[in-house]
Amino acid sequence: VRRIVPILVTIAVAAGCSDPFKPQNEVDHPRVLGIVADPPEPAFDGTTALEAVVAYPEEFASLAWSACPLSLGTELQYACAMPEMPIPGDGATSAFPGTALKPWLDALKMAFADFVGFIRQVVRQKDYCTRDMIAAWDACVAGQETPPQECVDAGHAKTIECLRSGGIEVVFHLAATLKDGTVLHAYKTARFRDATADWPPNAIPRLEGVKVGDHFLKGGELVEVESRRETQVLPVFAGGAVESCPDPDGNRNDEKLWVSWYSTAGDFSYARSTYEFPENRFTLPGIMDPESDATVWVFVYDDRYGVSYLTFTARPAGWTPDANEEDAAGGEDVAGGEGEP
Amino acid sequence: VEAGGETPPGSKAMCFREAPAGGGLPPPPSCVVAGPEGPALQQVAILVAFLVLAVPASAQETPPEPVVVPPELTRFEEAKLPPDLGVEPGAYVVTLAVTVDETGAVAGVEATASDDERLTPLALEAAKSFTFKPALVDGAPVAVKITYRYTFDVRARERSVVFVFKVRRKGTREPVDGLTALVEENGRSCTSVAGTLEVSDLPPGAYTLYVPEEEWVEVREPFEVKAGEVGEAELWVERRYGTSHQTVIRAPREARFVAKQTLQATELARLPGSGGDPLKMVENLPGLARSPFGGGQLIVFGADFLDSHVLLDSQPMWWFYHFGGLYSTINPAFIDRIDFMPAAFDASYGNAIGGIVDVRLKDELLDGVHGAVDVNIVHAGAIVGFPYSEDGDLTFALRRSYIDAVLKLVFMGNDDFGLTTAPVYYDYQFQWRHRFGSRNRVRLFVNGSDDAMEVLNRRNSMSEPTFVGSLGLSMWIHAASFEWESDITQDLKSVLSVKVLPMGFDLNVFASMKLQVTQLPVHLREDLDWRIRDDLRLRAGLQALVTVGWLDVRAPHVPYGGAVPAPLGNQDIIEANETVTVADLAPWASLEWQPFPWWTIVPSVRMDAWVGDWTRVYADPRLSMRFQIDEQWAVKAATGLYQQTPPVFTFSREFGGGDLGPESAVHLLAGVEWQPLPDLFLQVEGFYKHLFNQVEPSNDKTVRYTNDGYGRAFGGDFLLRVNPGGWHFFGWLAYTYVVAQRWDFARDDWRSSDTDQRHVLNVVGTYELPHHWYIGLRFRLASGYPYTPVTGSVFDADTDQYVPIPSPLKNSDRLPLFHQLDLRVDKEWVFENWKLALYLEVQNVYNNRAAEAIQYSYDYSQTDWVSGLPILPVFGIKGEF
Repeated sequence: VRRIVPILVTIAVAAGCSDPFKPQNEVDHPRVLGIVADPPEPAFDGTTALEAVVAYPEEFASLAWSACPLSLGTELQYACAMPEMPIPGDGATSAFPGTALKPWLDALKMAFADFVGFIRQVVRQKDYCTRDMIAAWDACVAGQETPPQECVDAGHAKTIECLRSGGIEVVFHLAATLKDGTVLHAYKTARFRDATADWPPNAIPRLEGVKVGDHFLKGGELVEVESRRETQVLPVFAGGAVESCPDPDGNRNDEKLWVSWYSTAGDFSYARSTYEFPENRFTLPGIMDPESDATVWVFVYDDRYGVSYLTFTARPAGWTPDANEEDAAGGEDVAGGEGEP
Repeated sequence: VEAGGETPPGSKAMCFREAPAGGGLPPPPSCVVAGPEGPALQQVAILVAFLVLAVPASAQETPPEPVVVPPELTRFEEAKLPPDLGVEPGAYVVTLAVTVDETGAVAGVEATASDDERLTPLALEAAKSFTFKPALVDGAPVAVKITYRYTFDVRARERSVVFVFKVRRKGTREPVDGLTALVEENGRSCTSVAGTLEVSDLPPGAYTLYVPEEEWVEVREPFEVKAGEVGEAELWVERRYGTSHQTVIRAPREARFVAKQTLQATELARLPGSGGDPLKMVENLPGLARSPFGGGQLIVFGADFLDSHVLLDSQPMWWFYHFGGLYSTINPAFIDRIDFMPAAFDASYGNAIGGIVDVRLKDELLDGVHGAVDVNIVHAGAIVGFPYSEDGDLTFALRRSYIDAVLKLVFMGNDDFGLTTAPVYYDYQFQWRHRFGSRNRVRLFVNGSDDAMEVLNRRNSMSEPTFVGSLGLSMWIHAASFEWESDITQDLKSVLSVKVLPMGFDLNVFASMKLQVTQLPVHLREDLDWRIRDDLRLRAGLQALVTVGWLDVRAPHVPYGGAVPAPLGNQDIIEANETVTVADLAPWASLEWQPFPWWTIVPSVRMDAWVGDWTRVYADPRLSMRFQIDEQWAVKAATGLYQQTPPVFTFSREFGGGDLGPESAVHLLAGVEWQPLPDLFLQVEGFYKHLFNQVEPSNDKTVRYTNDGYGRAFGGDFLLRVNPGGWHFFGWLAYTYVVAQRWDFARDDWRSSDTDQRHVLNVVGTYELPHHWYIGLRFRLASGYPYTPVTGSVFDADTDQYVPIPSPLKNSDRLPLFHQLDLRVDKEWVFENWKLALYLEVQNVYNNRAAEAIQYSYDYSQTDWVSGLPILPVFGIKGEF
């Protein structure tokens, strides 16, 4: 308790201080803004599609994907306990089949003691199946210099059982190389598992669209907004966006959803909003570079690896690009009328 | 000087030529007593006289021997002692040679010796009026010369008190002892005892009592003596400027606590930075590091702050500051002194591998109704106490903050951020003390505090996606302590105390983290102090603890050693909902032996036996010694084994998991003290602490923590202090140098520990100006704490957060040097029955934006310092009666 008090004081002080940095949702340089894995919970031998959402894509030289089924997680910055498995393809999208894990799963048996050593470092508190496997392994190999084969066989079988039911979390690594040689690293997880009726696979939380002032946008449109004036923006969630799932103790919990807002220009009042308080306020600056209408990304996340997004372009109301710009824009549809989903 | 009483009869006489004289009369009742000695001496004198007379007779062989009858005193004259003679009470002798003629009259007298020359003429004058039965030889009167010892028994006589002054100190109404005043009209002096000054033996009339300008401000108080009456009045006195005798910081003198420093609470309250709270000045002592954000954590000789304890009368207090460092939870008026032992203490204290702060409550019973009201910008409080008999008193205190009202105004109209429960705290104390006879004293001390705050962040302006909702903290404690102090014999004393302190802590950090702990500990402590011989003293005791705690926790790992925590949403969350029960039985003994007057050695040992959800038995032997070279110089040294339970959270099966052993340390300390003047003290100490069995996080999540860590801390400190006295100033300069390190297994090398604050310099002082003005300053200079730099980050697309990549060189960078100047001005108005004080305390006078922590941009590409408080003026008012 006494250790927590100063931490709390620190949080409070930090929260009360003005942040001297640019906010995360101000996009002014090439970045990876998000990665979508669809579905986030494929079947154990199913496939998930990967899509990287990047800002200023023209600044990237390459996007390389790889997968790691033995990630050491956040504490060790997703370092992989084995050589990462390259995923063919080089671009913003890719896909990974769960079947690609089978050779690796079979090979686990060859170095099962090392695997147990790894799994000890990452096992979660409520991963009861894996903890049981570790306890059984410890009991089986106690006093033995070399792990007996029956321990390996039993441990391996139990591991496969745990992975199939609880899921094997594969961490996808996107190495995005900029033209100047800088490499940006991003990681996205998908859980491959055998779904059950009680615990169906997670679906990505979807947005039907976004209300920008009086306009309803489904994504991809251009919308005019008043400069230097706050415009309300409101995500409209698709039905069933919030799913319910059991926790390891059998309690059912609703997902926690939040929305992240990004823009190449202008300010949002909040970095994020929530399912419960979804609205935000957006303000375009008064003077804008005519070559860069503000691109806005709206991501919605759940707390089970699910993410989706949409994007639109915001233009200062009354501003007319020159003819060339208009042509270059390809005759975009400018949302002007009111709409409802 | 007045004298009185009875005079023993009898005198010693030696014949000069003829018969010796003897005898005496009972003296008259008088304030001056003088007289001859008793019959035994008289017989001896006669025997000697006979021998003197017999020798020549024998030699001449003159037959027959005469019959000799010595002279007999028939009238005794009392010597007259003037009142201003100035002789202290006691027995004095003036030896006289008295010639008694044939008629029995005194023919001559002269002094041959005197204990006090002032008494000689008085004895001569009195002896001239003596009359005797003449000495007889063979029946015929003869003149003789005898030796007479005139004895004065000067003692306080029964006086006739005519006026009584109750001497009180202005402002506090404390009875004043030892105040000397004069009756101007006759110059007779009198001194106050127990706050009462009696004037006696004055005929009716008008007089003036005069208090000269010495320790007290000059006073002339007229009074009137009436026949047959004893008058009574109050005499209010005020301490003269510059004569404070408060001791603020004392030299460590106990051999069992070689590094102990003691702070007296009274004058500390005027030091800048204290906010009127003496406990906050502890961190300015040598050995202590500056705590981040002024949070009040005890970081002693590089130890983790969990390794040190704050005790209240040697019993645990748990938390002693509101909101982790604002004000202490005990009204300062209860505090007598603060004992600080940074290291190498004896076995009477345990379960701490760092240091001990023992806050001592006042012992003296109240002499009347006293109280105080204290109002500042943060809180208001009141205390009142009164004696209900000569042997007991009661005191009540209450304090409540009102920053909640201020903050609610600040956030009024803000739809996004609301204060559901603004920061608010209160505390209360109740004390009952009673003396049963002269040997038994009891104290019941009940205290409690409650801190609560809750903020509602409806939308998120911060980068943490989960920082939406409620951020709340509630912490409460209610303690009751009963202490029985008994003088079993003159040489054997006992202190038995029992303390119950239920407490609760509830922290809720939005949806990410919660920590709810309720605990019910019961502590028992028995201390025996037996002075076996002048050079041998045994102290022994027993400490016992039974506690049950209920945990409901949802939190990440507790960060350790140079960790750079990832955003909360990215961390592995652990949940625990369990009950933990532990009990400890700890007997200890400490033998203080002084084989030579200059050498004291104290071996001690302590054993702890834990049962319940943590089971361990271990023993800690310790040894300290002190060499008092002369009145000014002393050398001291101590060593010992110190062990403590692993951090309490590891008792949880979910957070601890592993069956951890106690954390251990060996302390080595040596130092030199020099006190060239009573008010000037200098100390230099060096220390080394070897830390082992330290709890560290394990890579194995099924265990979570191990005892594999080890470390070391070494350095020294320097203290130069001036005690209050005639210099109008008190304060100290303390410098501490500490190297605190942990072994880094990954790099196979030492690294700085989190508490490695290398240099700490504190200059603290207050100067008393005339007319009750006080001005104080505090200047602090301290190295920045180490931290682990971040070398980059990766993007976590599951949480939309960046995860830092810490440098493998843990704690390889430091925060900038900290420096701060605080000033304080106090003005006091002293009235007869009460006093009023106004103070202005300005912290961080030159507005140094000291770095307290480092903060990062969302992707860790930019850094900035989190600054501490800017210039902060605090104004307060305090009334005291």
